[in-house]
Amino acid sequence: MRRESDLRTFLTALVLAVVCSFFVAGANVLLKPRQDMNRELERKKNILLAAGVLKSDTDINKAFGSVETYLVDMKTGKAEKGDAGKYFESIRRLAASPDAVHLSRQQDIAVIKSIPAKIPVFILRGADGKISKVVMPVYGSGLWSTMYGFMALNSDLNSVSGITFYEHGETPGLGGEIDNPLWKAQWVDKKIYGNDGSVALSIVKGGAHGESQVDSLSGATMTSRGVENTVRFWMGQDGFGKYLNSLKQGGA
Amino acid sequence: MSAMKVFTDPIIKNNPIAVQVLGICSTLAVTTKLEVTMVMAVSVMTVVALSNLFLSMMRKLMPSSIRLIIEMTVVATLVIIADQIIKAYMFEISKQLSVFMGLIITNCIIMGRAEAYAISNPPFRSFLDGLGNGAGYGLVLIIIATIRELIGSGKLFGLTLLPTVNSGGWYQPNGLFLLAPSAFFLIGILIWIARLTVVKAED
Amino acid sequence: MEAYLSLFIKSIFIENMALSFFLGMCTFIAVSKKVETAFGLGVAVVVVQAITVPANNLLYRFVLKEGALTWAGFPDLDLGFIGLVTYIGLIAAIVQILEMALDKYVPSLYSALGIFLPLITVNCAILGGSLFMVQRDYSFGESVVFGLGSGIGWALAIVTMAGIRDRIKYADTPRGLGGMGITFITAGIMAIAFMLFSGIKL
Repeated sequence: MRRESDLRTFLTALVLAVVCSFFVAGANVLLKPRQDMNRELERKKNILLAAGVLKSDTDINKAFGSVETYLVDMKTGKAEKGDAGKYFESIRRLAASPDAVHLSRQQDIAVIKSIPAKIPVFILRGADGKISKVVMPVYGSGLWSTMYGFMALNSDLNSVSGITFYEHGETPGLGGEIDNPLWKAQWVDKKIYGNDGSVALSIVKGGAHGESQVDSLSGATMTSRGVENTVRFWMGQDGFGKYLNSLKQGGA
Repeated sequence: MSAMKVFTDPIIKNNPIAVQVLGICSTLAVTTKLEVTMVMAVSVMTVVALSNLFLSMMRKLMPSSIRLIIEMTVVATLVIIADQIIKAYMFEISKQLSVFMGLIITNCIIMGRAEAYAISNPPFRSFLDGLGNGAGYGLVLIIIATIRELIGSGKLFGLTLLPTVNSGGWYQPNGLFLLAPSAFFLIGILIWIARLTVVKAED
Repeated sequence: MEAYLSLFIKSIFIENMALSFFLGMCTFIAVSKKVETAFGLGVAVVVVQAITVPANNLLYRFVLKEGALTWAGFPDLDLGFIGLVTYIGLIAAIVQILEMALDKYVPSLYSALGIFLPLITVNCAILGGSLFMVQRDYSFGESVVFGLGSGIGWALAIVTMAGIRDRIKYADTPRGLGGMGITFITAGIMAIAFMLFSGIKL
């Protein structure tokens, strides 16, 4: 057969395509379970991290075993037991779907336009069966990017147990310092709500004092403001406020 | 040229980045952390060596009319497999490599070496040429990443060497080194040094 | 509408493909010696980017994405892993078709842009555009805007660069720094200039 004949060209292409697709598909089939597991583990790790129960020797899967997942209806604040499912892979799509909750300009302080109709929250219980931590996924616009994270509250549903961001594209070294453990540690035990029940937490430049103030990140005014707005939105009445109120009144 | 020289030449004397100015795209974007950079360097080295090897083995079978497509397919296959492996075993790093792992496909070093060397040389030598070019690429990447991570965040391989002010230390990191422009400056200076010492450039 | 405008501005200036993601650097450095050629390549990139990003968006949403093949009766299939090879294949095919179509119907444009088209398949700004589109999960409308914006951003960067290099030619640079070295340093300074656009909110 001549090297340049049509048949030969066609056959070469066919053989190559079959061989390559065999390898690619093989790699995917073999490695996909592991990749999915990684993603799952990462999520659990961040939830436990926000709740402040993650230690270096914690077996993540075991520790997560007792965590309960509830789906919160964002319109009513009612929650029912459920499964996070693919929520975290599809936040953007869920927020753009027809049943999403659209935010007016006044409501939309975190600059996210709309939020999914149902959002999973994670509840940790103490030995007595009472709620010890509530971990809620939050997100909002920073300077460059949308920052995705978790916010955890203690059993009083007011003081912060921890905050962590698992995905963001803020400037490394400036806004990127939202990952700095020292900064995140500042949040612990700060009060979200003031005496009148509205969100009191604020991020201030230099010399934070009082139980609802956190220092801003130096050189990252926009990112700090983004974090503040994100927290204010999600803890407010348009975010998880209604749900947290119903929890306070004794609902599950 | 001896087989040894095929391997060593591209590391310094004919370095793909500093001398041939190839493969810049991905070079710069993944050099803020040494650990991530190492993974990128090893991936590129493996992909370019293997693609050179396979394409050289197939060089007598390839019909010239679909040569480019064949090269592309082989490279893409290798990159996908590398990407899948990194996602499965180095999840943290794969998140930071983001799209740049996939962009190895369009890294000019790979197609460049395939076209310039592999399709006209025997497999073993092509493999060495690929390894050498991969190593030369990795060397430049590692130099840049070392400077950027150390000055930009006071760390190497994620281990703190210079404790930063934000973490209660004394070192005020130079944030510019974590941003895009610094990579351009560093590579410009590196090319300058290369041209002054290793190669006498004609311009 | 406002969101689209914001995305458009962002993809041109703030997240400039060439200067903040380093994409398409090889061609960016190699083809920025003269303003005319840089402009030609820039236009070609805008056209190809504006076509391939939305095309890959459709491919992603209706074939590759997890659950995308529900319409064909495979609700659980996730073909995301072959994304890379299909995007680059589609790009290569579109470039080839564009080349043939231009040659046949608009020969004048073909003679101006023709030599740049083959360069584009291996330009990482093009593949990068499609990969960012997938990573950020853009809708079809967003992908059109993003494709156009990122193409224009890249073209703007290369034309500006060519203009600067035109002047540098006559400058007395230190030995060894002329040519590539000074070009990279110039690109760095341009990148700083483009960073000033950050923080702009619409």
